[in-house]
Amino acid sequence: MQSVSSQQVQAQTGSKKSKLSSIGLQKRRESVTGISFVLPAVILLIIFLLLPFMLAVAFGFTKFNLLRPDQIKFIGFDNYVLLFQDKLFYKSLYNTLYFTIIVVPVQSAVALMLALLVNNRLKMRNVFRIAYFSPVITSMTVIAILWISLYNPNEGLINSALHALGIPKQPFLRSADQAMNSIIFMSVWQAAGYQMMIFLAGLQSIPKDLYEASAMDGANRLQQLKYITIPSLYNVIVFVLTITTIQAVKLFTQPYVMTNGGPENSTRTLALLIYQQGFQFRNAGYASAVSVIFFLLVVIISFSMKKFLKD
Amino acid sequence: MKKNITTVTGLIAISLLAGCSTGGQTNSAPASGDNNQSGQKEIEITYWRPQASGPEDEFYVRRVDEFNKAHQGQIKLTMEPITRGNSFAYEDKINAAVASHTLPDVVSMDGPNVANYAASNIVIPLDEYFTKEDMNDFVPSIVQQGTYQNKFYAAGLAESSVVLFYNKKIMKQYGIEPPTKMEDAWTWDQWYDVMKKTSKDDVFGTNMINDKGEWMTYAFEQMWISAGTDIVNKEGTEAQGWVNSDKGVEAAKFLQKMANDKLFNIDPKPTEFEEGKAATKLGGPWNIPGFKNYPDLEWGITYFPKSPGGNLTAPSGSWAIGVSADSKHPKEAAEVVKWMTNKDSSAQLAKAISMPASRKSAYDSLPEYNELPMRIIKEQVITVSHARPVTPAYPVLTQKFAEALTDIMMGAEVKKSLDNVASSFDDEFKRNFSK
Repeated sequence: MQSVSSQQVQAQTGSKKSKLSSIGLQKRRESVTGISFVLPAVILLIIFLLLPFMLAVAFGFTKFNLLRPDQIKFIGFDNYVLLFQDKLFYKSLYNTLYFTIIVVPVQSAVALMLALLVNNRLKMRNVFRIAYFSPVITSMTVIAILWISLYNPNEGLINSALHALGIPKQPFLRSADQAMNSIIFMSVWQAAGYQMMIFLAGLQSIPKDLYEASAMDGANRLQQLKYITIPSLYNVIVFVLTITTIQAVKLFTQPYVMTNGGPENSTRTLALLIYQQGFQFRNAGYASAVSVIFFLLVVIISFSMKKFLKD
Repeated sequence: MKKNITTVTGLIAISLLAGCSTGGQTNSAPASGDNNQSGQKEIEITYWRPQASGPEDEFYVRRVDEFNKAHQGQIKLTMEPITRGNSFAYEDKINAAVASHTLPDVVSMDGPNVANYAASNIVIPLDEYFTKEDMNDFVPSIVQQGTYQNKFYAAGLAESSVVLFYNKKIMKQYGIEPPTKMEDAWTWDQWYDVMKKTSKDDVFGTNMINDKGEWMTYAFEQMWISAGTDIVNKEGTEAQGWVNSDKGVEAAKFLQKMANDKLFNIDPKPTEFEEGKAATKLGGPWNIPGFKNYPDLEWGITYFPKSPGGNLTAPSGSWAIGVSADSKHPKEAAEVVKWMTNKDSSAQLAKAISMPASRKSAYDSLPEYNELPMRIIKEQVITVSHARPVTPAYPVLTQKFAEALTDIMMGAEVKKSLDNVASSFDDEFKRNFSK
């Protein structure tokens, strides 16, 4: 927008001085238009992002029962003291980080492989593309309910398949050892298609002549992948890793629908803890304190990833 | 062109702002109607209740229609069914509405939440709107459930009870005679033997998981009571030494034993019993209407099993209805509460959902409660039932207790899980409710 207007201004500066005032008017008119374009977004950002966040920070210092909004009491850092003594907080933090650390590399790798696959000139490639992408556009709640029955220890499809292969039936969501990994598996399956699409776009923007030239030099497919595809995709990879991390840290729907944080809190995540404390136990003050910590965690992770990946 | 764009974006921005500033539907009642009985303008009353199905829904729709006809020109009642979800979705909605002051005038609430809502001043006392005769007509557990610190806050729409349904054919097959007299009620051990005998080829000994939320507390707290303890003390202030007492641990261990022996399905199909895939079922009268859809099913009712050497007991409590503190028309809202819980409503709802009625007078038109199998429900309601704990920290109690029981059924260590419930509840109570 700015560059356009400056061009116009430059083009017009060569003309007569009498036009100067009308240029000023036009410039002002354009900035009004610009502001009015940006204004709705800015207002929405303030109302739905900035304001709630500032409120969360403020409420973090209060004792605030959701059912008694008129009895808010300032209690300083008590919520934070409580939080750092809360075993469930550490457990949730651990679960959140565990999920993130496994999901981000696995899901990105799976997505890249899928993208390489559907980028080939396969006959059925459109079918594959649709197949891999379709879980992404289905609601997570629906998928979670579907997977509850897939994971069912008695008559679930996965266990039936395992049984047919001679592998003993697994408890999956019913076992504290397996529940989180089961959620990880289905989450990767569900979301990899999204990253696949981004990788695919990246792959298709790599110039074909690079591959042709390298083929003439005698490079094989693996060398092409290593020296052409991956380096060309670098920015896409950084983008994918960053958004996947941010999404992973926010894990909520799967454990909420499938396990309610159990068994034995093995799938309780920070987002679930915030929801339970804030809305079910009505401790809005405490939940706000956890949200602030959660926010800091996301900021730290995103910035350190940015720095790490740029180096 | 540019001018147009400016205008359009400006309008969008303004309409967005306006959209944000108008609250919920509750504010739509005309303010001019305040304390004005002259009938110039109808007073709008809004009412939330959890979503139901079939005859229950039809009952609500019909009674609301009849109310509107009877009060034409004075009060207009708008009812909004809210999804109940698998466990606590309705409560979440209420909590959010309290925070944003968008509660309707009249709210339905589950029995054990009455104390919490009353303690938080979300609902107002209704004593001035109910006569002595009215109060005497409610069955005792309804008055107990609706009363917090000597004030009556919510009237029960119906009562409830949990019984043990059994499949007559399966019982006959194994030569089992379920008890029909209170003194013969099965103990846990006898029930266990029945389950063990009937648990064969695709058939579970019992079906007892309705959901993993409120049901867990509603049904299984009774095992603590039957064993001679409870999950919190009488005052509702302490769980340590109650939920995790020796007797409590015994009760939980029994549940775990049933799970380990695979006598019930922890993720059952809702119609497992109806399809003949479970020999018995812990369930309530609300299940009965659905049995009609399974003509092959021959069912009977016996008592909620008791602890060996312990007391007979059964859950009680059901949805109640009260007036929210946000209501600008408490008098008219109380009219709605009275209407929805009067003799006619009570009898009609009891019939529609086969729940025991909340008013004694309603039983006059419910003769089926005088003979088997329904007699057992009435006996339990009138003589041995226990309501859930009356404590303002109930949300934490029920969540943590339900989570612990689910974990225990999946194999978690019993004592540790129950200790965790006790400390969570006690911490919460000390932090937020002790004076």
